[in-house]
Amino acid sequence: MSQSELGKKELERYSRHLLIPEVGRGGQLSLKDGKVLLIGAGGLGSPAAVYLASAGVGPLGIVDFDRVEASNLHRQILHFDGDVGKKKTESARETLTQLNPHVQVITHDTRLHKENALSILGDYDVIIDGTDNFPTRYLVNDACVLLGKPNVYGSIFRFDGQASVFDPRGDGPCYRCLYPEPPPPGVVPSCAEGGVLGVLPGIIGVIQATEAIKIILGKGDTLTGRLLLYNALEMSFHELKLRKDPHCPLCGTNPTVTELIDYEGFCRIGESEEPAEAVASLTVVELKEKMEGERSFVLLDVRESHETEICQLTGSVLIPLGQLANRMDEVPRATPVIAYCKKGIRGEKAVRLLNEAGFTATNLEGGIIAWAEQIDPEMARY
Amino acid sequence: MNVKVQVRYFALLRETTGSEGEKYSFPQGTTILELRTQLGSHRPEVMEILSEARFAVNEDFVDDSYVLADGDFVAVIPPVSGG
Repeated sequence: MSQSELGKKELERYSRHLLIPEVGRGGQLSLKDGKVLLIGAGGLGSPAAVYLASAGVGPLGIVDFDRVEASNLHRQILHFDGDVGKKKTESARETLTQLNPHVQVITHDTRLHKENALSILGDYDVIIDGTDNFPTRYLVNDACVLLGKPNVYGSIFRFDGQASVFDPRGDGPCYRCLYPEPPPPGVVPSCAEGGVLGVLPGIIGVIQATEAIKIILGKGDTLTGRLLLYNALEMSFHELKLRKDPHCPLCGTNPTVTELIDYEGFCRIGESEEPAEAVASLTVVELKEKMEGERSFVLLDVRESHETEICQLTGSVLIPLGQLANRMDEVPRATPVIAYCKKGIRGEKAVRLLNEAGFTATNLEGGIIAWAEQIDPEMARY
Repeated sequence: MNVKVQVRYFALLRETTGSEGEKYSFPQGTTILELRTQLGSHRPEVMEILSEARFAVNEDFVDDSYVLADGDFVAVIPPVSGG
């Protein structure tokens, strides 16, 4: 059901595609009519979008609710220096439209959730999962299975990447066949927590774009039934056979998940491991006043040492949270302790540990990021 | 008689252990479930991640009841969420 023909400019632009028998004019028209939805215009979504738009795949949909931050730019190649602060969907539309004006870009400036997922995904032929969190991964997986849409999966961590195609049309396995349940919060770090090599999502995102193009063309063998593992340090690829799990709660023989669920609850987001008993804390403004007065406290940085290379408060003692229990004797007992981390979470844990051990400790609310935002705009953030 | 297996860590497991993997020798009849516990007792810092990881033997995913055979190549793959 080709809505269109290829104009002269498009014939020229796509001529190297037209020369490949597997694509040709018919294939290029399929790409032009192929509706691909990118979940996330971040590390994976950026390179995928750039290649898909260049290849004339469209309409190209993009779901994202975030704004561009400086720390995105080392890998999220849709966004440029001047885009910091803009909505990612807008920044993506500008880049892609400049790259290829023949491609229609549809932006969904919203968080994907169980109420809107089926209607947004339902308009597209292929879904590319470039999300950065478990709740959205399970949501996208479940919605794709329920809608019968191919889901091109990719995920990254530091130097490692995974990719696969979960294609219910051919009765292929889904993400839940691989990982039926999400890990508890805090066990598997995100890119924001653990860091990521900037070029890594380039490799995985372009693999996802390749698979999406093959699905639209109906050519070649996709990653359906295979999990591809990539490691950039070793420059190695491993491939594992992935089979459909007959006991899969979603796509197995007796499914128990037959509609979208509460994914934040499923992933136990917002649930604390222990009862949330508030610990003593102070604001960055209060800390600044204290620092200007006579210094009668110990400033304890509980982050990792590589984080201190980006920014640190003057006069801090560094003991990473993981080592604190074994290094308590390095903290002076006579003086009150003010603990801080990046955003206040680890600081709170440190304060609990210290107070249990008999110290008088207080947590810096919002961590060093709050300090950079409210007190010292010159300080580098991450 | 013992079975010798090669264990290979991926992603977060490799980063946390600082190791690509190790060779182990286990009594015959050792299952993946027992391997999980054994690996965790060697390296308590990865116990939590191990319980979330999937195990593949000779490139095929297996469940906890799989009994290790001599020469098995065991890949341990924790979930990865970044994007």
